[in-house]
Amino acid sequence: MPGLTPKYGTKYMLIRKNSLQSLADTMSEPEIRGRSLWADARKRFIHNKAAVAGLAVLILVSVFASFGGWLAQYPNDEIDFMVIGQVAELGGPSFANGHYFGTDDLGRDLFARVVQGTQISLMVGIVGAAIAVVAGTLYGAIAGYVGGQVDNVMMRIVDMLMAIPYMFVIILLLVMFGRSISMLFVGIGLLSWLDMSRIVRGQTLSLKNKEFIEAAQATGVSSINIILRHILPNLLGVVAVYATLLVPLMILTESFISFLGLGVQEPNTSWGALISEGAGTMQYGTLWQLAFPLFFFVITLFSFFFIGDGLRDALDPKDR
Amino acid sequence: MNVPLLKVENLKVSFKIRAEGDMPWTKPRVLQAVGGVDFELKQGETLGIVGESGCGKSTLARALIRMVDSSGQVVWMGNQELLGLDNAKMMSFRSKIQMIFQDPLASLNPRMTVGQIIAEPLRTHQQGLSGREVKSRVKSVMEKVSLLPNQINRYPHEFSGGQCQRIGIARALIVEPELIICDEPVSALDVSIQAQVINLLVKLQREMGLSLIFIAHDLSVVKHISHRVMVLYLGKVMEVADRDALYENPLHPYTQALISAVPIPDPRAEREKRAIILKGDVPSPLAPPSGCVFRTRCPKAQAICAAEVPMLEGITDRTSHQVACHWV
Ligand code: SF4
Repeated sequence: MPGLTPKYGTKYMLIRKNSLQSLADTMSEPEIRGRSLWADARKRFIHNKAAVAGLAVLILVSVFASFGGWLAQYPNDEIDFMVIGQVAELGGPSFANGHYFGTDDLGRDLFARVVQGTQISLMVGIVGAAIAVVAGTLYGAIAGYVGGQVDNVMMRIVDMLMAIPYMFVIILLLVMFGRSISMLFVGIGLLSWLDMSRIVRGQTLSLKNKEFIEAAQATGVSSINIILRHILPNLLGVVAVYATLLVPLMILTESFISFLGLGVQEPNTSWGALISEGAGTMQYGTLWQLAFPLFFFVITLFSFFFIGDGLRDALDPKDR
Repeated sequence: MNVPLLKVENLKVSFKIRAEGDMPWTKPRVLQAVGGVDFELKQGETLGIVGESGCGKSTLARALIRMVDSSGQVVWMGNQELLGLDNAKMMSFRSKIQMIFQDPLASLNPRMTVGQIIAEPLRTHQQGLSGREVKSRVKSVMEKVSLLPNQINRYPHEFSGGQCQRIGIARALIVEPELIICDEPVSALDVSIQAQVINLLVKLQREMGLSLIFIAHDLSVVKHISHRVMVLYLGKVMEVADRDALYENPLHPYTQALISAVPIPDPRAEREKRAIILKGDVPSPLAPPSGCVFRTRCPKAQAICAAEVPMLEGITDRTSHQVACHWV
C-alpha cells in the first residue's frame, strides 16, 4: 500500500481483513433453507380462521368415522326388539339404552349407522375427487401442453362426454350392473374428471408461455419432464383448490343417488340414504332420524367449502 | 481459427396468422418475422443485435435454437448444419448453445430451488452424474456468477432481479456452452444492475472463451459488450459492422437515427447534437413496405427505394462493414 501512511495502512488492512473474514463466514455458513411458495401459502392458510376451523371440524368428522364404531353399543344392522314398533316413544336418543343417536325406523342403532354412513360418504367423496384429480390433471396438462390438433381432439372428446346427462348415465349404470359401491365409484369417477381437465388445460395454456418453460425447452428437457417438473407443480395450487371443492360435490352426488334409492345397498348406508329415510319418517315425530345425519352432512360440506376458500386465498398468485 | 463458430445464411421465419373467427378454409395471412438474415459469429466474439421491439430479433434468436420453425442455413463450426437435424442429433447442440432470457424472475420456475433450477441443464445433458457431483458443480458455477453457494436451497422469489439474472446465467453456464444467446438480458433491470450484469458477462466471456449473441433494443447497451453490431428493422438487416466502425461512422439512415438518440454524457455536446427524429411508427410486419422496408420513415427516401429492395453489401474499402441502402 505505497500511497498510504502506515497508520491508515494498518487500519485499511484491518478493515479489509475484517470484511474478508465476514465474507468467508457467509461463504462457509451452512446452506440456508429457502422459503418455498408452499411454506408461504401454509402461513396464509393458518391465518385464515374459517379455513382452520373447517379443517378442525373435518378432522373431527374423520375421527368420528374411523373410531366411532368402537363407541357404538350395537352393530349397524342389528334390530333392537325392545324398541321396534314403538320407535317414536322408545327409540329417541338416550344414553341409558346405548342408542346415543336413537334408532332408525326399524329399530337399528342410528349412531352405528351414522358412523357407517359417514365412512361411505367420505370415501365416495375422496375417491371420486381423487380419480378426477389424477385423470383430469394428466389429461388436461397433456392436451394443453401438446396443443394444436391433439388438444383439439382431446378437448372435443371432453365436450362430447360433457353433453351426456351425467345423472342419467350413473343411474343407468346402477340399474344395469346392480347397485354396488364400486359401480358408484366407476360412474362418478368416469364423469367427474371432465371439469378438472378443462380447468387444468386452461392453466397449462397460460403456463406454457412462461419463460421458464421456454428455458427448459431451449435446453432440451423432454416434454414429459417439462410436464412433470414444471407444469404440474405450478398447477398443484389450482388443483388443490378445485379438489377440495370437488369432494363435497361428489358427496352431494352420491347422496342424491342414495336419496333416490339407487346408491349403497342395505345394510350399508350413506348420508344420503340416512337423510332420505329420516325425511320419510319425519311426520311420525322421529325428527332425530333426520337431524343427526343431516348435521354431519352439513358441517362436512361447510368445512370443505371453507377449506377450499382458504386454500384459494392462500395460493392466490396475486399476493406474491 | 478462421472457421466461424456460427454462420447463418438467409434465415427466414414466417408465421401464419389466423384472425379470430376466420373460417377454416380462409388462407391465413403470413407474417414474415425474419426476412433473410445472414451473419457470421467468430469464436469468443460478441455479436450485438439491435432493433426496435417487433423487429424480429427475439424470433431470430429462437430460430437459431430451433424453438420456432425457420428456413435457411445455420452452420456450426463450418461443418454442421443445425436446422435440418433431427431432435436427437440436435440435443448435443442444445448444451453447446444456451440462452438467457429477458424477464429474470419469469424465466425461473417459482416452485424449484435455485439449486434445482441451475442443475436442470446438467441433469438433462449429463444424466450419469451423481447427486453430489451435480451439487458441487452447481455451487462452483454459483460462485462464478457471484452468488453465495449457501443460497442453493432458496427459491427465486427470495432474490432481487439482478440476482435472478445471475441465476439464469449460472443455469446457462453449467453445461459449459460455447455460445450463449442473451435475449435482452438487462432490459428488465435497473440501470445500475444492468452494468453489473453486463460486466459479469464480459468477464465470463474472457474467462471461458464464450461467444455471445446479445440482443437489445437500444444501441447504448450493446456498445460496451459487442465486437460486432447488427441493426435489424422489420426482420431485415440494415447494417452490420465492427462496433467502432458502426458507432463512429454509421452509414445507414436508420442506424444514424438510432445513434443520434443515444444520450451523450457531456451536457454541452448533448445540447448541440441534432437528434434525427423518426416520423411515424414501425409499419405492420403483416404488410411491410415494398422495396426498402425502412422507406416509410427514412428521411432520405427516393423513388427507387420503393421500387427496389436494397441489397446488404460491403462498402468499398472494408467488406466487414455492410449496409442495405441505395444511397450509400
Ligand atoms: S434504401 Fe432508401 S429508404 Fe431505404 S434506407 Fe436507404 S435511402 Fe432510406
